[in-house]
Amino acid sequence: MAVTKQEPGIQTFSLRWPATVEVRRQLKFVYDRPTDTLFVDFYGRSLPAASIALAWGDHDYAFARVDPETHRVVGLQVEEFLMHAVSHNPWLLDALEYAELRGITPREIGELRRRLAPTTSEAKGDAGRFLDHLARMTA
Amino acid sequence: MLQCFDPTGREIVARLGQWVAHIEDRHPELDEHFGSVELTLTDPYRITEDTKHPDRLNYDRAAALPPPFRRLYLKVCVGFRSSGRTSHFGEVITAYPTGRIGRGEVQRWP
Repeated sequence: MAVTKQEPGIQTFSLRWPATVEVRRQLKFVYDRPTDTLFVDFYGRSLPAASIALAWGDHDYAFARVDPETHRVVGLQVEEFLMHAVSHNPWLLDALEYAELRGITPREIGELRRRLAPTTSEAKGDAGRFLDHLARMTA
Repeated sequence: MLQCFDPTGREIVARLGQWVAHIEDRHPELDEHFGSVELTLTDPYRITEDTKHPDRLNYDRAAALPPPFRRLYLKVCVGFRSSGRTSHFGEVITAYPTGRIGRGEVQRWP
């Protein structure tokens, strides 16, 4: 039995996404290969937060990292990143240009990018492009 | 670092390296809340099968963390490998507070 259950008493959120200009210079990307998860920190470091699922696709793999008191979104957590997320959201691959890599080398990332998106340039872009895509996804 | 058994008798451990390198670093809200993870594993509200990893189970329990995360589920993701015909041995992969039990996950317990 597949379950999607919201229990009484569980907190709900009205997500407050920051303005692109507010976070552009503080963005930090981390890709963790052992858990196949991309983390995006909007304020330069990982902050205590709840992981609130975003309605991307048919199951929960993308989460906003949300301060439970202010409902301010402080980051992004994308699980199944290479396994699933990038094939449904190719723009996410841009994040690997800027990400601090854990458990995988830049060379391996280059090979993965060529395989997953052979027509995409590997030229360094602007992290703002990532934010623009994210803003469209969360509008 | 942690060794416990879930309600079905599966042995689960959390290793210090994974805890420090991943959970404490990427989920600082769990810093010093090791007991909440153990509580979720030993007395979960629900155990579900991960949507993409058949060798992983997700353990959810509400109110496992103190405020301001109390009104959320604590989700603990455990990877299993068979260690014999009947027994299983799992390691904690990640853990974080979340607002709902994963959409599309299949209930395995109770």
